[in-house]
Amino acid sequence: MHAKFIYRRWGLVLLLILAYTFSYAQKRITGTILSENNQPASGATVTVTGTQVATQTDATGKFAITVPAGRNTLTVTSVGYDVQTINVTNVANVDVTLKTANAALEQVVVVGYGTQRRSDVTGAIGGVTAKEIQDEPVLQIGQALQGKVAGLQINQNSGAPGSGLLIRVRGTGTVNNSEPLYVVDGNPNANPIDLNPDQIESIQVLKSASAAAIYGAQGANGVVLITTKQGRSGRSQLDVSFSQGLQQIQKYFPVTNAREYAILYNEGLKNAGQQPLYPNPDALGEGTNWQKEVFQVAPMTDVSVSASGGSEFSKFYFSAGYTKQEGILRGSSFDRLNLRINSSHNITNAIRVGQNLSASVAKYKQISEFDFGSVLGNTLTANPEVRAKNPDGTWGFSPTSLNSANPLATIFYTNNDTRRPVLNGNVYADVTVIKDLVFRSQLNFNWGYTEQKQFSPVYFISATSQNQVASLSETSNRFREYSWANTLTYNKTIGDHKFDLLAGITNQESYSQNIVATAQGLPPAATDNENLRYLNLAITGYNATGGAGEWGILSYLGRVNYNYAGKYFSTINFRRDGSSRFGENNKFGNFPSFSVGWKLSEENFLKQAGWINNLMLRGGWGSLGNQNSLPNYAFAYLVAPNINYNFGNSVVRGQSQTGVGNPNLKWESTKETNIGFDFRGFNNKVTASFDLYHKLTTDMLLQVPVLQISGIQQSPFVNGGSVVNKGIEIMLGYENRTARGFDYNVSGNIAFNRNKVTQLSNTGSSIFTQRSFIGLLNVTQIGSPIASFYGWKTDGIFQSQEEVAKHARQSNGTAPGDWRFVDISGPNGVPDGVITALDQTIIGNPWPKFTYGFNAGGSYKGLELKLQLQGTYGNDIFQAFNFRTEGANFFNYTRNVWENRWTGPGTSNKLPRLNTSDPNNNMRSSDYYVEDGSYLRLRNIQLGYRIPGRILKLRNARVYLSVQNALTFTKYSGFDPEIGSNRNNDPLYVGIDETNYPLPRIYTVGINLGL
Amino acid sequence: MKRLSYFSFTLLGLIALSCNKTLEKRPLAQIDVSSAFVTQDDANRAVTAAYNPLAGNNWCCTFFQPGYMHWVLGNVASDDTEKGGESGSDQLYAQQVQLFNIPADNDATRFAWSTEYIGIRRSNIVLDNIPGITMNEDLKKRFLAEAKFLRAWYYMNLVKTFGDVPLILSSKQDDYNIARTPKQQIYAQIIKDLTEAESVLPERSAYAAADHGRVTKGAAQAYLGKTYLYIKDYAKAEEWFAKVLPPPVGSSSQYALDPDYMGMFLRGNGSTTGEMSKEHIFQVKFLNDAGASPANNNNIGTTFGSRARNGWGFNLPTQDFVAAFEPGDPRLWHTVYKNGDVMPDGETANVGNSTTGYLTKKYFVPRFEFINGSVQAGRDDIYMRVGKAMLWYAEAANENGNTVGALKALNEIRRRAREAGVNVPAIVLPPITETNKDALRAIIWREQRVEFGQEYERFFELVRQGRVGTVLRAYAAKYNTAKGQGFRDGINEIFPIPQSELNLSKGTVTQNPGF
Repeated sequence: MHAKFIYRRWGLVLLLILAYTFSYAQKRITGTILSENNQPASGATVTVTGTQVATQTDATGKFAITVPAGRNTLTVTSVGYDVQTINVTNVANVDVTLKTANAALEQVVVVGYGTQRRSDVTGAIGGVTAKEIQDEPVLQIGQALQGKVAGLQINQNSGAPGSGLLIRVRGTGTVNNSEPLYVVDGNPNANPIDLNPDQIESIQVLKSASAAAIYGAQGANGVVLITTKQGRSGRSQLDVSFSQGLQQIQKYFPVTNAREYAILYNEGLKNAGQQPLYPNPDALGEGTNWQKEVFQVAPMTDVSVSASGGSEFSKFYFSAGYTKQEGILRGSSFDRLNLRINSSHNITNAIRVGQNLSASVAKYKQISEFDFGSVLGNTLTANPEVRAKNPDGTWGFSPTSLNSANPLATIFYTNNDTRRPVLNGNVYADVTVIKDLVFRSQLNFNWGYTEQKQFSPVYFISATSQNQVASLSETSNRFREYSWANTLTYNKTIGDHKFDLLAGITNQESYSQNIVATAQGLPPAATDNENLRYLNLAITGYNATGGAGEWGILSYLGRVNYNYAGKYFSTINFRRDGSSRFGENNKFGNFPSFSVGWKLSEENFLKQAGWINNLMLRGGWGSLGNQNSLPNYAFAYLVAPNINYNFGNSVVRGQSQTGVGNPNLKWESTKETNIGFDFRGFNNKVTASFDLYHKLTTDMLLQVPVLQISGIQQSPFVNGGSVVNKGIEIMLGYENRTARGFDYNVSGNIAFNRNKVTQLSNTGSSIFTQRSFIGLLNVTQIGSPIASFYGWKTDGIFQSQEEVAKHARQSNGTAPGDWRFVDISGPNGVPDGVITALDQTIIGNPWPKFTYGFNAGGSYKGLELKLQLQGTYGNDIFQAFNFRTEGANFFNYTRNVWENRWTGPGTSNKLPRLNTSDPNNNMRSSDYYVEDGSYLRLRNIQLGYRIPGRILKLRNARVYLSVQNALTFTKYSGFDPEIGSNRNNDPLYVGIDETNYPLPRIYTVGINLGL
Repeated sequence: MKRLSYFSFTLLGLIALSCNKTLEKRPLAQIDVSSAFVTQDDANRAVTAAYNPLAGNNWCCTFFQPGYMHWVLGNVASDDTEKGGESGSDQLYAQQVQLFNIPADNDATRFAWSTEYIGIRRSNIVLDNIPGITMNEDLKKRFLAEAKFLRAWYYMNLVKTFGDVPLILSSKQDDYNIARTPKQQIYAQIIKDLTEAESVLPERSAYAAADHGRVTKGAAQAYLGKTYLYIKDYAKAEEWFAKVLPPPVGSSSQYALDPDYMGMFLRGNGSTTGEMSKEHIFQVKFLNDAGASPANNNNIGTTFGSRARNGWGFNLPTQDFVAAFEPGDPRLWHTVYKNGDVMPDGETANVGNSTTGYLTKKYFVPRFEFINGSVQAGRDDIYMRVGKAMLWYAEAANENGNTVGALKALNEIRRRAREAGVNVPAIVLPPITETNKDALRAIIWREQRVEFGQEYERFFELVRQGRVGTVLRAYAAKYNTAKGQGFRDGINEIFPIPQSELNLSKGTVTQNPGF
């Protein structure tokens, strides 16, 4: 066999030499390639069949090629069109009209350690391609998926530039880490924030367990496979794109002005038996509108340049992109520079090597946004009587009021800068060992760090708002991660039997370390001079700390794809994973899966049905793990350091055992059954797909509370919880082209999911989230969705003392104007005439009943219009910041309080009286905080125009306009109903609005040029 | 086929390479228990960790781990103190305590329960592991004695807060699900631990300056006195208090009444003795040391501080408390302050949003104590001082019929109080001459209220003295307030066991009646 290769190679060289020598035998062919609507097809590749001789068409679709002697056919290829072979035996000039490929049927998708024809896939997957997401001014790939894939719930955690996303695939299966696994070009665990969407070719989401099972212990939350762009053989191409956006706040939150604020605060004081503070509220007038002070219209710019091309031997793709987004909240910004080089080389016919390399540097400037005390929180509560700036240029403050915060000044003195340089990528070699048997070895790496510098300068605003000592904190989080995947694939067709076999071993190791250094007493000049913000210039308060952790996974994997006659399909996956995070007694876990498909459309009885182009019934079952749910060393008995105490005048280090290890820990496991179908028919105009799934998480890792009398502080992890997610996903699409060349398409998707906790290892050990002032506000308990809102039920407002007396006892001091809480239970499980903790119950569900998306597009002669809508229905939002903006105290109030508070019998049944001592604790967690969070959003609307080649002699020239977050329909009263998770993606912190940074509306103009 | 076999071998090699290294990750940057009790330094670290939960009054959930909220259970529950803060729901647990609407998941009681048991576990870890360490034997004995004192201190807080509590004396128990032990046995264990500690612990003066804050023989004596007082063994109480008191009551040279009543609560500088005051018998040490963070910093300066000065305005002394002071008693304006007062740092006081018009001055942080502009001065919390011991001695002596001793102690306190003011006429705080036991008891009780007002004792004192319901309901009636009104006799003298603990124990741990 070896000899045969050599023979072939030499034969080729000989042929080329001959071709050169006997040049008289060559002939020149010219021609024009047209696309289906008779537009010139620029950039199509014309190859002399069986040789390396190739050219590309120009902007007018024309080409010229010299055909060596003995060759008589040309192959024409162009992305999105069928490959055509043309006989040129006796012609010198050819005109070719390309035929649009039946893309959806022939489309090849990545499925993890390999690819598959889309129409042959038997698991549930969904995705988008570069074409579908172009021109959307998105910073992160996740944003591009919003509303496009059924069963994916995607919320931006915040509108802060560069903020992360909450992505949940088919609901939340666990109270632990619920993040999907991201795999970029086969590199697991890359962080999507480091990727530039411009450089992405496609994104596939493996939704069902049968599809994701090849990722075993890391696949339980779904897998997002991202493929970056690669070079193609043919003439080199250069693409330049530029867009400029302007962002503005979608809506302001209605709060009271200075006069109204003073009246309300006086009322709260008076009702508590105290002296009013403002003798003459009318004199205060409008005052400061703090939201108008801190929000701004902010620019956003995106530039990217890419070049790609190659021959049969080598291909390359190079891209450089830069994105900068200023925040609509002053002082916040994000920018990112990305470089990517992807190339591949055929060394011999049997060996191909390649590399994908990405380098990025992201920079953030952050302004605190969540919770009270944050700039955004203060913006709602700030005293409208305080000026932003005094006429003399100094910062405004109130000498008399306790509410004297000046959010604009806080922004000015905030210096919270993060840099994140990251290098990730891989090198690989594909070796064809024997015919059809390919060995692939791929080494992946992710290196990088985030370094954060927080500087607090010396400043003086007022006696209560000042900082006398400058302090600096520098934090560095470093990570390095390697993985090595070695796989063998064997593809064989014997008659009607077609096999794709895969076997492999992968090894993944991750290491992270953090270093924190802080110091105080920097030179006062550092307030204005950035060059002085370094630790060596500090004089006191030096402190250094740090930590580290590592983990590793070793995996064996295998897959068999078998199909018979293109009708019957089956896939069997098997993965065996071992993880360092698990206990000695349970190091390895096995994750099998299978799926089957029946392509009905290939059966004789349906082949005649002209309206069916493709119909595949499919079903499967799979088992997955979630190793990320566990800390690195939960199995070990460790001593907690730094339990310190002070003796004399110094700190003495102490240490003690605060927890216990559990060497029996094992995988949190998810088992999912999925059935569905994919349909394409009516001349490929109609597409539909349907999925029904049942996903059961068992052995959920829980920190089971231990008796506090043990003195053990960190409850040990145990495997002991179950969660069920059940759902339906439906996708429908229609596309058509009229005879006059008008293309249009509409598609919609909808996904229903129900989430329920079915077991928690210890009865009575419900998991609560607690917030000061409000109390317990959500619960994870058996029989309810994860993180259900929790609190008392209200039944209007007490209008009279008789009503108070008649009702169950609430509190000493309860009076007319206070909330009437419902007495639903007592110590014996029945109402007991007293409002206690036993009357708390589930008052809302943060998870939507369904999520949906709707996309429509139309194009005519280069003019293109696209619309994307997306929404959720049936989810609740807990408006947690109300305890400040509507509770009676010295903070500014919402307009709702001004209009709807109780001021006497019969005045209101919506909001309680204002009373600064609030004896009834009206602001405890109750259904008063819970609002309907359903929304429908016109996420993107855009209009593009392709400048014809006859005007601009370019392969591609396109201009577009777009508006993101153009319209939002919702009953939710806050800034924005799209609320992610704002506590480090704590999976139990869902749907809680703590003054999340609102998403901006973005107007963008852009241009794409291709040469 | 040669190529095939070559790759097969490579593959086998790869399988071999992917060895255990991937799966065996020994903890990084973490100490394993197996190597945690080897050296003398390890012993010191274990003891230090046992001191750490002393840092009470810690705020819930923010800067520190929560601690025993002495200010809530000792002050706010009583007639001396209103909760304060931003609004009713601000630190709701304290509101619940002051209104006696105390649910079984009240945070203050949960933190009290869990923190004290953390301290007990840390003490037990010392007692279980240090005996096996090869080290200086004298130091080893002292470490063990320190741990016994600490364990007793934590149990003392538990028993006064909850009554019967489970008695845990080992860190190596397999099953912690044990029933509550009768409080008499808890007291017996406290006395046993304190007595054993007392026989070993060094006197205050025997410690090096770097060890200031470690428990002393005197501290063990004073707490023995207090424990006996709580179980109404007045003879023993008088005996133990006498051991720690300076002349003219006792004979200890270790301690003395500080002539500067206000100054002993400050950090101390050239002119005040502050934290080094000879009056202090047991204090919880704090330090504002950002450099060696995490140090225990005292948050109480912020918690009790005026809203107008970046404080949070909690723990508001009541009008009733202010009225308890005799006319001209200099201690009043050393204990509370109001708008317009000139403070020790020369600033004019602004009490912010205090609803009573008063704030607590014993915990006031003057500008000259600010550290880097912060009111968290790192000042110590004083839990046992000569002033307390002397009045408790007086009470015990009076009960024992030692009227002379009782009056001597009582008048010594009044003399110091009078002399602590500037140019206070002798008519103020005149010596007491009452010899009727009941009348004298009432006088001593009032003296206790003002001498150590706002020092986290009042509620438990009222309970101990058997008059808490009467006093609180009278307060509610007099001031027409909900505070104290809901107090139920026979129930609210102690607090509910945390609900989570009842659930987890599945009935082994039972709730106090009425909750």
